Amino acid sequence: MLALSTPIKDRLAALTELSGWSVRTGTETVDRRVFPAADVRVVGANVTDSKAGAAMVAPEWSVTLVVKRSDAAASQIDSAFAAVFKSLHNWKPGQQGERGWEPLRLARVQEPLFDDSGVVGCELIFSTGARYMGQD
Amino acid sequence: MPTPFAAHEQRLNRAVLRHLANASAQVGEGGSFPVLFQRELEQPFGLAVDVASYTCAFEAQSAPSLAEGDRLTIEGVTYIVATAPVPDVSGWLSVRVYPEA
Repeated sequence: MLALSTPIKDRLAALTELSGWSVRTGTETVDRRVFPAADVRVVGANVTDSKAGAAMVAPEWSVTLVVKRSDAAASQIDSAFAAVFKSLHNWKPGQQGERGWEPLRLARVQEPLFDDSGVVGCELIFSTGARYMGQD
Repeated sequence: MPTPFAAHEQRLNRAVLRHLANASAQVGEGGSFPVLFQRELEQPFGLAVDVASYTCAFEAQSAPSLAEGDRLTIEGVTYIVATAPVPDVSGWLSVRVYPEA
């Protein structure tokens, strides 16, 4: 279920709009005090079609964009949001690991939060799916 | 009507600062005053990020016109006041701040 972790991270790290950002996955051991940052992790999964022998597993991938609060924070988040959406929405990961993955689709957005600790965060959640085989 | 506990509250606030103040702060070019300054780890967006969260507490009369968004210099470092400065009824004020830089 985590096979897309590195491909998504690599795709975002290549974006011009995220140049200089700390792009990291939830499974890495990394300094998470570094900003601006884009964090990639699975935040849950639905099972959309479960039958004897197989099930369609649909994980949700979260991309959390975090910048320091400043006069430029809103435009930073806005620019990064647009770039992440353009990069991932309808992106076809194809065969990754042992299975083929459906195109990513933006499922919902957590609105930008201006936190009292001095950071601004916005979360995009994308869904995808792949078939997992069980016992016959 | 006598309000004896109000006087106790005032003495307690002064005693806390006298014994527990660990930093000095100033607003603009004003004089410095003692504060209780605390830093701790916070994760405002779950496990995705770690941030240092700062709290500064002092007698509100030390900075009577302080407002959210103002700059507070603590031990030579400039912070932005992130929360509305609403003191408790004893005049004790605690605000969240974050580094300007």
